[in-house]
Amino acid sequence: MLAMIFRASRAVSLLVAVLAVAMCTQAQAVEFKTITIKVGYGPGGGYDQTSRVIARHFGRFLPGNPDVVVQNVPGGGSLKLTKMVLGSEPADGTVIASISEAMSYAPVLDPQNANFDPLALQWIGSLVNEPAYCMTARSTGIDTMDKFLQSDFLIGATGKSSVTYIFAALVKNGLKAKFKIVTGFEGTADIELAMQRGEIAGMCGVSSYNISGNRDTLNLIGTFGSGPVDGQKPLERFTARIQDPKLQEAAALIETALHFHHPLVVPPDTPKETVEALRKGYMDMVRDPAFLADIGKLSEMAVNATSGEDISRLVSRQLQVDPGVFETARDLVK
Amino acid sequence: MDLILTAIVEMAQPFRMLMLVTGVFAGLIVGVVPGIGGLFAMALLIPMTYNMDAYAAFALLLGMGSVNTTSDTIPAILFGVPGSVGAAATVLDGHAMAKKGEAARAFGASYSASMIGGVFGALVLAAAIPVMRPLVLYLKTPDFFAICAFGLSIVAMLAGSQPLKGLAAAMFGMLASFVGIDKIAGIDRWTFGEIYLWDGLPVALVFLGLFGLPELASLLLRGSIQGNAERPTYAGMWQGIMDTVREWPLVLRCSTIGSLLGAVPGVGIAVLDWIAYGYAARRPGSGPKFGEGNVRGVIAPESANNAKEGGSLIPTIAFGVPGSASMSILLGAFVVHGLVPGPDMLGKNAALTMSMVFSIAVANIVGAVTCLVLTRPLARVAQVSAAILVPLVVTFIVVGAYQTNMSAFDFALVIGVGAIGMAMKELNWPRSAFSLGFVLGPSLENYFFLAYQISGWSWLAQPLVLLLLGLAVVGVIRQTRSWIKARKAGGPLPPALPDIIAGTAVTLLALAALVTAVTEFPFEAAIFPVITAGLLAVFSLVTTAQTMVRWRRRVPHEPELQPSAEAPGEWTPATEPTMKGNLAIIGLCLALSVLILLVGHLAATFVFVAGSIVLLGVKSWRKPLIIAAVTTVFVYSVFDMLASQPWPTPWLGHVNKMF
Repeated sequence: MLAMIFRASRAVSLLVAVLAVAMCTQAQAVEFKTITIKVGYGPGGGYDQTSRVIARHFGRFLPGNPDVVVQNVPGGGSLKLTKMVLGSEPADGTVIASISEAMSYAPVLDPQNANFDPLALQWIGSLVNEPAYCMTARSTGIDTMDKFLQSDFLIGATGKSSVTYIFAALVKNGLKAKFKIVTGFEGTADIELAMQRGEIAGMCGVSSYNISGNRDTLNLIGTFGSGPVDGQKPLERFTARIQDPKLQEAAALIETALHFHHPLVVPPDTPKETVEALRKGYMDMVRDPAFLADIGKLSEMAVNATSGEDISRLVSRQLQVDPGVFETARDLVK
Repeated sequence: MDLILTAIVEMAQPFRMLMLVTGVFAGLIVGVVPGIGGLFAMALLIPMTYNMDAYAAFALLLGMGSVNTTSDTIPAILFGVPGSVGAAATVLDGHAMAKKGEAARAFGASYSASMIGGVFGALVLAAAIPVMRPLVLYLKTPDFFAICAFGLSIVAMLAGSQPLKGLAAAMFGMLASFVGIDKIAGIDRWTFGEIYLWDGLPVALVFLGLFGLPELASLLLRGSIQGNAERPTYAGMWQGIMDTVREWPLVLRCSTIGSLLGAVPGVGIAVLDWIAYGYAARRPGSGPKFGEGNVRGVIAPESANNAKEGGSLIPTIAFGVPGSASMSILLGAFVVHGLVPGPDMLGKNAALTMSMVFSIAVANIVGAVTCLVLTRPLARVAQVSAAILVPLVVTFIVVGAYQTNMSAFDFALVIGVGAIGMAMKELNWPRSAFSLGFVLGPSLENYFFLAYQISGWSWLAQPLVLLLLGLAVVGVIRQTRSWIKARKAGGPLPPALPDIIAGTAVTLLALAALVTAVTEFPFEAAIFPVITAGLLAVFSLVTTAQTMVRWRRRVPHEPELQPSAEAPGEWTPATEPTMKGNLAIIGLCLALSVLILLVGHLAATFVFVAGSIVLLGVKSWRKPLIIAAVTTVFVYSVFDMLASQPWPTPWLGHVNKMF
């Protein structure tokens, strides 16, 4: 009896397998061979490192178990790669791009980029959903939001399109803060070093990654965005202090992108099945213990993924607001 | 003491030593092949270290990073092609030595200088452990500006026999470095709407074109690297080692330059090897002029660029601020292994820091000894026919260039810069001065604006700034006085007519740059380009005027074409029909570029190498085919297996897909 059931189940599974193969060849199910993750930044940074970890694991969760390799395409804080994805990259799932979340509102903030549509990008998923901070060196004595908004001091930033500048400008313009923003630092580590030298007082737009090493020498002033803050006393949100409803709407628009740090995207014309396979694989990957162990080595920040569907929803909501709000947002981060 | 013992005991484990040696061999290969640098290799190696312990991981990474400045001199000396940006200064005298049949001596001198420099850098790192943090905190942003300005003043030493051309070349280099999106205002400068140019002209490509291609033209005309010079002997290598030993004060001074400047963010090997070279050029000692095969011109940059690895680890370990580009990748490895740069690395994890010192020192020794063993076969390359060498070197330059961005612009850039380099070489516009301006331009601009934003103008009164800027001014004044004294000396000069044309072209370019900068860029993005373009216009105009006067006054018996041992600087009067050689090299590069775009880099390599060897005069088909096959396998193993990366589909591949 048992043997018969066994034989029958074997026959059934064989049949299923044959059918599956037949259906696959008919419907041309998605199968990946080799995937290239292009990174919009140079080797070594957070985007590069997370992409290299993803490349190690992603293949296991995709049909066809493809090899995944990484290539750096630095330029304009990933704007170069974003334009390439919208224009010239193959839309067959062989190229995935790791770009800045700020690309979702790049056309809003800079009219020069108005010719590109972030909604056309197909978002695969993102790794981190967490708030950003403003912080100062403890030696400055600036330790409350009131002091932060009313004192005269210097805030360090990298480029004008970077989060270190955007969030500092948001506070400066939105809350009429008195500090000055110094641009042109090479990276966040350089800004922190200048803080230790006493040349500047603090920086904005940083994630928990930047404060993990030396929390006892820093004052955390306040946060942007509503994501979870782990293991610390709750901090005040900067945007909660903005009175003007229009300004507040504009600030919320800028904060939205904090929900999807380190996103992956594919070109606009990528077939629906391919996108779905990638999205599914991505969400499976971010739950995988081996992947989490590897990414955990990179920093203290916990993986808190956002699915591609959710990102698309956030981005489209972001872009549906009144054009006047865009204008306000643009002035806010100038 | 305990610390040193602990580090040695930890490193003595077989697996860790194996990783160190593996890193060294990988680093040597990466150094030899132009186009792939230590930076790229480090990014590839990092994921492989995830499952190792921290000691083994850093042994592998530092072993790799320490020695690519040892082996990058091999193509520099043999072909005049810098294996990495740090070998560009070695090209000038190292390649000149090889042409005279002294390749073995140049190798001996460069490896031994590299080894001493590398070990010195490691010792500086070790000695800095207790004082590292206060040391790095002592240097403020304005000091970095002053260091870069001082570095730029070294141009005066590199300016050669026509100083105005030297200064113009430096300004030209600086102007070229401003192409791309600027850091301060975030606007694009002279990108002509091309995304390719957003990040500026890639340094590696500029150096490959500027130094590599012009030397190949003269190699082609000479028939082999050393032409008819004597057969090289193994004894030459010992002579080179003895040169290094004899010049020990120079080695130590340049090692100091390398390790200290290596610690300054923004001053990479591309900068500090020129500074060391310029420093050595001030006192040429006995032997030939600088640029004509003076062994000091090899020893100085080689000791400096190997010493930098130890130096650039100082800010990396102490503050997590990368002292160089490859250090920013190394920082990734810190994080992967749960290490936080800062006080812990000097306290709790000091043994690991000490093991890094050990890795750098051992890697330099192993790397140098390996290279010394290879000297004899390598020196023989100097006698191989140019018909075989030129296609091989062109292949590595062009394929190496293409893998930078995998774009057809890579070809255009390397060939275009190559053509400019050829003109500069023929007309006595020092390429060394161009390089220094090119690599220092962005740092100067950026540090200036940071210093200005932080403290207005008051930083100009800081003691170290005053000292460094003072030294720079004194150096330039002294050099100017010696120029004025030497003004009447005469000596050979390049042909007048092409010189006038080139000078006028540069002046027009400078004026165009000036106008566009003034009219299109916002003030803070315009100020540096405007000053640079203005100076370039003035310098090139004056030197063109001088040449015109000389041309009008020209005596019937041209003294200009007589080769003379008196010519100072890197320029020697042409004795060959160089135009033909230059055109041939550009033609070969273009042919290979088109082939790569058509059929992909592997098939193109095979067809090109076999075809051009036959074209250049080897009669049989057998030998070219074998060489082509071996080269293709080598290109595959380096650019596809070692550096596994996706290559774009060639055009014919697209055609194939359509059917």
